[in-house]
Amino acid sequence: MTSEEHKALVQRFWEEVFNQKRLERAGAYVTQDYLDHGALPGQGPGLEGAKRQRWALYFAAIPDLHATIDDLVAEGDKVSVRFTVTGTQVGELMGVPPTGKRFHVGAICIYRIAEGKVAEQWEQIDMLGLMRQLGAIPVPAQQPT
Amino acid sequence: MSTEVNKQLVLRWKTERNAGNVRVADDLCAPDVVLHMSGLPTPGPVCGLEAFKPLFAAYLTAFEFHSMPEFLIAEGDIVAIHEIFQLNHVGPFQGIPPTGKDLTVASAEIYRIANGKFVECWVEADMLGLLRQLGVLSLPEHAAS
Repeated sequence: MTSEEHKALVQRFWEEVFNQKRLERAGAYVTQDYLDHGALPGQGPGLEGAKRQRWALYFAAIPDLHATIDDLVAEGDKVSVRFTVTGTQVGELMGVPPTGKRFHVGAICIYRIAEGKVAEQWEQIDMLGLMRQLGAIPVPAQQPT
Repeated sequence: MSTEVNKQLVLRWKTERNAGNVRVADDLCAPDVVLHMSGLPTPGPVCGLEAFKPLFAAYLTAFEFHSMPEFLIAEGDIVAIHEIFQLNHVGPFQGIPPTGKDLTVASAEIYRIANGKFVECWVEADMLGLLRQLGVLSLPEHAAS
């Protein structure tokens, strides 16, 4: 696959599995032995662990979860994606009780592609910003740094 | 600039940062550089080299850095990286006195480069994890991830 095909794969994966919440389609885009560097505590291995113990929890907590891709670059077997993620937290999210609050945070995810599917991912979502917007963590007083 | 040259700029930035060299910002950042970074005390991007330098200096006062990117992905005018920061907390950070703690913080970053200078940077570092390792956050167990 070319870099352009890798980018298209990641775009389709996000649109179909996350924006359309079609979790049953994840296997079309992700390898069974997928390695998730953003795994939650207690998340089982591979694709099944990510589906059941991460993505399904996100969808239950944030049914209107939506990611807009701001930037996509690829080289070799990797693709980097910069997103803006929005949603409304209506269910428990990582220990935070439902708040009904809308949030808007940045994220950068990097994917390694092998044999036409996502085999590994490194994910950084602005969880501090998310927790602050949900009111789970106080917003600090202004400091010089 | 070739993508290889752009990668070398990012690696030089990291090497100089590890050496505590604040002045590297004058060499590698455009005067109108824009930084988008999670976890800043004030919302919104940091605009311009003169606003960026005191922030960078404050981070280098707070932390000694001992890490380099795990990998770089370059295409066009963009370089994306993933890094596991190895930090030692040696100075005050956002009002937190130095703890002497060693910290491990994952970061995904994107640099947009023009004419050999950074013109726009996005840094999504695990600032939630950083604050938690500093012992200043009490959070529901799951939100720690």
